[in-house]
Amino acid sequence: MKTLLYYPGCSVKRDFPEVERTSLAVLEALGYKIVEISNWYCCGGFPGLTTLDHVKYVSSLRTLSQAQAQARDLGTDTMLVLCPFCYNTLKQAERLPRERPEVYKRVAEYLKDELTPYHGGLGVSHFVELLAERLSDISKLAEGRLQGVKVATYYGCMLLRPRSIAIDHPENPEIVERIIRALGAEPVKHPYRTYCCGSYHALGEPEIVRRNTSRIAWSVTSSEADVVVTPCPLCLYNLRKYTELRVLHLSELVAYALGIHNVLSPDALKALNTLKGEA
Amino acid sequence: MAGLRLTPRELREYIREYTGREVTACMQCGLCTAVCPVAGFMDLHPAALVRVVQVSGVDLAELKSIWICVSCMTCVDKCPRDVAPGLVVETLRELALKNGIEPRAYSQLAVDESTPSILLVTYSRKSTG
Repeated sequence: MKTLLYYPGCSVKRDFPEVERTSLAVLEALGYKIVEISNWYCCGGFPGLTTLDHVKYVSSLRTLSQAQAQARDLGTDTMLVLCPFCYNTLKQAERLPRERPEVYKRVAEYLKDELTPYHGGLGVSHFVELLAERLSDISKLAEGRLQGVKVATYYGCMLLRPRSIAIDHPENPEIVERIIRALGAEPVKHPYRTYCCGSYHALGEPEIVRRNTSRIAWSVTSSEADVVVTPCPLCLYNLRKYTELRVLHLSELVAYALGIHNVLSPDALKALNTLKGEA
Repeated sequence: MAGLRLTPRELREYIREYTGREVTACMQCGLCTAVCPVAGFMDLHPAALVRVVQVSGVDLAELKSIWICVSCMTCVDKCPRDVAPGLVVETLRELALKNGIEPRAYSQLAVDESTPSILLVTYSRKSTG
């Protein structure tokens, strides 16, 4: 049984507990043992994009330093991340010692009195990547429960860009579609699946999110999908708030397909039962 | 720290120093603007902004585009000349923030109990110094 060191982040702990519940249940069903990091800090939300804001890496590197020690004790080299923002930020921070040593050195200065510096070598893996490694096991467990259901994917930005940390091809990703196929459902592609939903503008410039999500809604609707799934909590929030789409977190669809219904919220279970009824 | 009164040459050097990108390499193909999911909400779309930085410098107190860019990284991925307009914008945004320019006061935000923390964290990271 492989152990995963689990980094939760704010969104799944505070606002989307159903995402945490369903994601972890799915991974446990696939035979992973999950251990939550005992001390974790905010990922920082966004990585530092210029060397002017290298300070944004401090909290990520603090988390990685804690994780490194705990991973060693647990005998694992994999840190599981559920939120794409956390994945993007932690993955780029993880690469810092190797790829931008001069930035890493400056950031490490802030942490030198409190922690063992992060040495590198911890694998930061997103939930989607871990599922994609186990497609045949997923197929066996799914037993065709989603036969005939057409599923569109909305990827968002943070798992695909920048290219250096993308979990699949940034322009034509298929990793989630492969998972959907393994579940026995029918993946449908649509043009706006990697187009930004408007992200944090929901707070200050909601008209941007309204416009962008309406384009995504048009795109999904034209594909004749029965449901759209996303791996990102913020995309989930924006699509639910600004569109009429039937939208689920990817983990909810997978949990349902694998027969793990007790972790689903009543709304998700109802939506999924309806989908199956229609198929 | 650099102030707001940078000459065009100083601004280009500032961007080079903090991003390693060379704005003079831009050939104005416009691909960044074509792929930008928020260009329609900007006062200067990405290619125009790069052009202005190339030739005349910008007034950061007036420029709205730096608060509209969401760092989706699409233009950074697509730029055929490695100028990476998204990183140029980020440098200008940080320069503005370090000089006390912010897009709006927190009290103006529509925050309630249903606002997820990820929204507050990401907004804050891009809009406060």
